[in-house]
Amino acid sequence: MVATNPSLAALTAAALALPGISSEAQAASPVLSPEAEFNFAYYNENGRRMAVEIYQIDAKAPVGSEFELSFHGVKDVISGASPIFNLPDITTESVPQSPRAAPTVHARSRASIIAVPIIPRPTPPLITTPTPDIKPLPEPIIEPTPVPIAEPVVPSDSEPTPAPISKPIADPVTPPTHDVPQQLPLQTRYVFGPVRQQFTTQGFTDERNVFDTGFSYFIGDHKLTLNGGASHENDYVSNYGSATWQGEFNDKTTTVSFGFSYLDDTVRAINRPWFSAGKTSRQYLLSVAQVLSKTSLLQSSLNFSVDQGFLSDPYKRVYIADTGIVDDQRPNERYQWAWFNRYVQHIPALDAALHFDYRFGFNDWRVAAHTFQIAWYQPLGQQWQLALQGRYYTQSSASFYQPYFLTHRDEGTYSSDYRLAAFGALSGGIKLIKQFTDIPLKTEIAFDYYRRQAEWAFNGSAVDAFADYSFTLASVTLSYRF
Amino acid sequence: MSKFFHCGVFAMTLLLSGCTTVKPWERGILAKPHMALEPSPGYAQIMQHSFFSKEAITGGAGLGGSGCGCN
Repeated sequence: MVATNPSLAALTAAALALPGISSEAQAASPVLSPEAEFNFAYYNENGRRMAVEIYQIDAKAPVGSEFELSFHGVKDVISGASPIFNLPDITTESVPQSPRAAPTVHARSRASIIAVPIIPRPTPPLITTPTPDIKPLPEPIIEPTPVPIAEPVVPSDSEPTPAPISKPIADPVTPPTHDVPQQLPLQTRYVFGPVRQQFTTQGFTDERNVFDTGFSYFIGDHKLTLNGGASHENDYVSNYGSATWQGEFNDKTTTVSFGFSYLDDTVRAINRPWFSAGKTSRQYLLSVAQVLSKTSLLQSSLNFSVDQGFLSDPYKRVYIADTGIVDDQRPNERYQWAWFNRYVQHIPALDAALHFDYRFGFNDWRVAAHTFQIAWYQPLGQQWQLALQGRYYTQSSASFYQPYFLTHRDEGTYSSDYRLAAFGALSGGIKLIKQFTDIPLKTEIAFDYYRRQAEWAFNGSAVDAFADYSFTLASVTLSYRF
Repeated sequence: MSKFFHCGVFAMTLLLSGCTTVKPWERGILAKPHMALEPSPGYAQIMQHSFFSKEAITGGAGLGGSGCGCN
């Protein structure tokens, strides 16, 4: 069956694809005719951060009445700079020492001061300055002592690193010469102030090329899809394959999908040519879509993934006050769950569609996240359509995340990657869609703005506000049905 | 972990119970393009990839594609 009128063809295809679910869960029939979609998007972070040009193409074609071939290709052109690690502003001050008090390090955020007793180490980072013969002082003299601060990191072999706080700091107190009653000894301590991100000083460029082909077999109300593909960057190679079964039940009102994918990735680092590490990922998906009524749909999906191997980021570093700069070190295993739900409701008075999505996910790194998304699709007549959408995402921090560390952790895992911090993010977008009727072409332009704020997290504070940023994503899409 | 899996399946079963049967000829509204669960799948993939690069929890209605060295 071939429908020549594009609108009729689209409607027929959609009707055949009932319950009208998306590419992740299409119904048990191939596309009616070849179709292709091209998308250009520009991703741009604020400040001097990342920018990505994205070229994406998707194509599908029927092969007989039982098979379908698909192709997915992406080319990303990446440039810009990325945060490497965080450094606090460090000053010293001298205070009268309590007879039993341990030396302390103070970490001062915008809202709090945290005093952490320093456990004696073989090379104690802080040296108490005993002043047994000290004479009275009107005020303790506090002189900020310069502490080595890292130069911005250059992605090369000769990467400069700041020295750890490990040497005694010169006594900032000059003993007076006249006799006075004895006072408590003074203690020098470090005060950790606001945190700043350290970026690569030289912007880098890279390209990411993705090729993915799929083959689907349709039999009765069932569909079996096999996918395989590869992604290549100068510092990352990913090979993957997946298999998905899908079945329709209850007079095509229920669609059930089960899928499995396997990724075998190799991680490299441009600034360390000898570095290479592997990781694998297995992902399982169970999804159910259901027609609830003549005007509403629901889809609920469970994702479970197991990642193993090198799960750190080879470019990220961590500042540990009593050690210096070390590599980002994450566990070599991660188990993650995500429960994703979509609900679509037609609004008859306006012929509009209201989309509501909710996702809850968590992993054994103790990151848990909620995502809420709402979208309104409004037909405007003449085959024009306007869509507005908003999204809120919030996550808790990983158990081994801190902006910087005062001392080592027994677990041996560290990360200061801002993506593992607690934060909230709000985003909103607008999309304008035009379906032409004289030619089988659909065009779409879209613009989205995303803003991350530490204080927008469910349980957040402004402690990690130094990592706040925003990005915009603008896109043009052309879809053609041959 | 299997407890979570069984709980999820049970929750979905509960959600889907009580649905009225909608005959094929009653699904005209559901066939409209903006009633698709994902009306713009291509753009949605790009958005999802952006989120994947910047957020710790990922996963949606489909299997993820390739990994990336996104920073």
